[in-house]
Amino acid sequence: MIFDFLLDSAKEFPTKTALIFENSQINYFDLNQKALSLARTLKKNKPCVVSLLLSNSIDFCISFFGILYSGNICHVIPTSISDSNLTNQLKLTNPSIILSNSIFEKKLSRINLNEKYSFLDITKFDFKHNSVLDCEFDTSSDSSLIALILFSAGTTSVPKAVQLSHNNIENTVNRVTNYLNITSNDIDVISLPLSHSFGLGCLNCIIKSGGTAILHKNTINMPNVISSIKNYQATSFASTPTTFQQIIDKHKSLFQNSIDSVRYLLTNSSPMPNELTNNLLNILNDKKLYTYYGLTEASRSTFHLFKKNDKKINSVGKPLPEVKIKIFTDSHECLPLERGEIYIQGPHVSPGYLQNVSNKKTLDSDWLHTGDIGYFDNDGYLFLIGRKDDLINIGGEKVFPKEIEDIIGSMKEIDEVAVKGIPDKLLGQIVQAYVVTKQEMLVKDQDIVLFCKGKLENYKIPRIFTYLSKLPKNEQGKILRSNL
Amino acid sequence: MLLLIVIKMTNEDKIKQIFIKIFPEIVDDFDLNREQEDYENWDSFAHVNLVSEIEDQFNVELETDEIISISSAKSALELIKKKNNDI
Repeated sequence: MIFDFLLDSAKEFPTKTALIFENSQINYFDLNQKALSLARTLKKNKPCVVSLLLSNSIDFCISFFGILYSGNICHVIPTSISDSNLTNQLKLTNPSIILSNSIFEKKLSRINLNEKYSFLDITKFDFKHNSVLDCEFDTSSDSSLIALILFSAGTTSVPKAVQLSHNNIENTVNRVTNYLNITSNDIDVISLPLSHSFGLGCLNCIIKSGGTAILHKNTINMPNVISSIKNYQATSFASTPTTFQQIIDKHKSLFQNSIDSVRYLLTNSSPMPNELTNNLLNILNDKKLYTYYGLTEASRSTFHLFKKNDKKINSVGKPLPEVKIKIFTDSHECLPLERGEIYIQGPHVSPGYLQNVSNKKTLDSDWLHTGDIGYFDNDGYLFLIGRKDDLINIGGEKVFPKEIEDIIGSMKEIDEVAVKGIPDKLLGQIVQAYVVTKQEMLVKDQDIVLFCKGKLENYKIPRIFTYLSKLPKNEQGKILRSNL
Repeated sequence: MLLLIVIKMTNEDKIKQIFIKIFPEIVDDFDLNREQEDYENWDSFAHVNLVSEIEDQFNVELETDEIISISSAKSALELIKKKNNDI
C-alpha cells in the first residue's frame, strides 16, 4: 500500500527530517503521527473520495498520507484549476470531504454542487500528537484497491479522471527508486506542483526511500529554489523544460555554482529542445540528466539518460523492467522505425477511468492505447512524434505537426512554432502555422516557405501563417493546439 | 461632426486589467493590496503570464529582482512607477 512508504520510513528513520518547507520541517515520526491522527478523523465505514486542494506544503503531505491511511480514495486537485474544471471534477468524483485551507474555501464557495460535502481546513485541524497507532488501520488491505484519482492534463480533449490503484503507484515508485538508485541519503528539491503526477511521484520516491524533500510552493522565486539546492546539499532536482530554460537564460552561473552535491536532474512534461539539453549537459559534468515518458495513466514508463553528443537526444529512452510497449497501427504491430500509436502494458497501468467517461477504448485488453504516436529505432529506443489527434490529413497524406514544427523551429529567427490542420474544401485539411519570432526579428510568410522548400514535401509547407507573441500552453508547458 | 472621446487609462487601470485577465476570479473584489498568497491561482505559471503581460502592456523589460518583487497589484504598480522614473 502507498502509505507503507511513510510507515516503513517512520519505523526505520523516525528522527530523520522528512520534509522542509519554508521555515518549518518535520521528521518521519511526526509526519506519520500527524497522517495517522488525520486518518482517524477521515475514516468512514465505507471508502469514499476525499478531495485534496492544497498547494505544496507539509500540510499537503500529511493530508495525502492521512487520506490513504484512512482507506479513502485521494482525489488530488491542481491548485491552478479553473472554476468550471473544478465543478466538473467535483461532480464526477463526488467527494464526501474536501481537505483544503481558507484560500481555496472561497473558490469552493463559488461552485454550485448538488451533493453536499464536508469542508476540512487542514490548517485548523487539531492533531493529537503521538497518540495514534498504525494498528488502528487496516494496513494490509488489498493493493488492487483504488488509491488515487488524478485528472489527465488533456491538451486536446476534456481531462479524464484517471484511477490509480495502490499497486500501480507502488510499482512505479519501486521501479523508479531502483532505476535512479534513490536512497535515504538523497535530498530532493521539489518545486513541481505535488498535485500533478510528476511532482507527486518525486515525493513518493523520496518518502519511500527515507530521504528528505525540500519543498517549494512554486518557482516564482527561482534564485531561492536554486540556492536551496546548495544550502541543503541536495542530490536531485526535477523540473519542466520551461523551468530549465529559465535557469539557463537567467540564472546559469548561480545554478552552476549550486549543484556540486547534485547526482541527477530529471525533466519531463514537454519535449526538451536539443539546445537546452546540450546547454544543461555542458554545465553538469559528471552529473546525470534524465527524461522519461509517461502518462497519468501509465506513469514513468521509459527512462532516458542523456549523454554528451547523444545520438539518441530526441529519444525518451527504453521501457523500464516490467513495462511492455508496442507500436501499433490499425492493422498490425509495427517493425522498428515504423510509426504508429504507442500501446503500454504493465502493473503500473491504470485500471480505468472513473465512470468510464472516455468514449474511446483507450484502456483495452490490458493495453493502454496512449493516443501518442511514436516509433522504436533499431536499438530499441522510443521516439515520440506527436498526438494521434494532432495528425493532419492533407488530401489523404498523413502529416505529423512535429515534423513541420522541427523544421520551422530551426530557423534562427523563430522562437516557437506550432502547426495544425484547418479545413480546406479541396484537400480536406491544409497546414496553418502559428509563429513566435525571437525578439526584434522580422519574418515574412515567404521567408518561412522558402526555408521549408526542399526540407519538407510541398504539401506539408504551411499555407497560412499567424504571428503571435506567445503560444497558448497548459500549466505543464504543453502547447494547447485546441486553443490556437 | 465626428466626436472623438479618448479615455486615457491610468497605470492603475492597466494593472487592474492585467490582474483580472490573469486571475479572473478577482473581478468582483479586486484589491490593490491583496498579497500573492491570498490568490487562489498565483503559481509559477500565472507569474510568468503576469510578467509577460506587464512587459507587453508597459513596454518594459523586467530584471530577475523586479520579477520576484511582484507580490501584489500594488507592488506591480510601484514597480512600473519606478521604471518610468528611471527612464
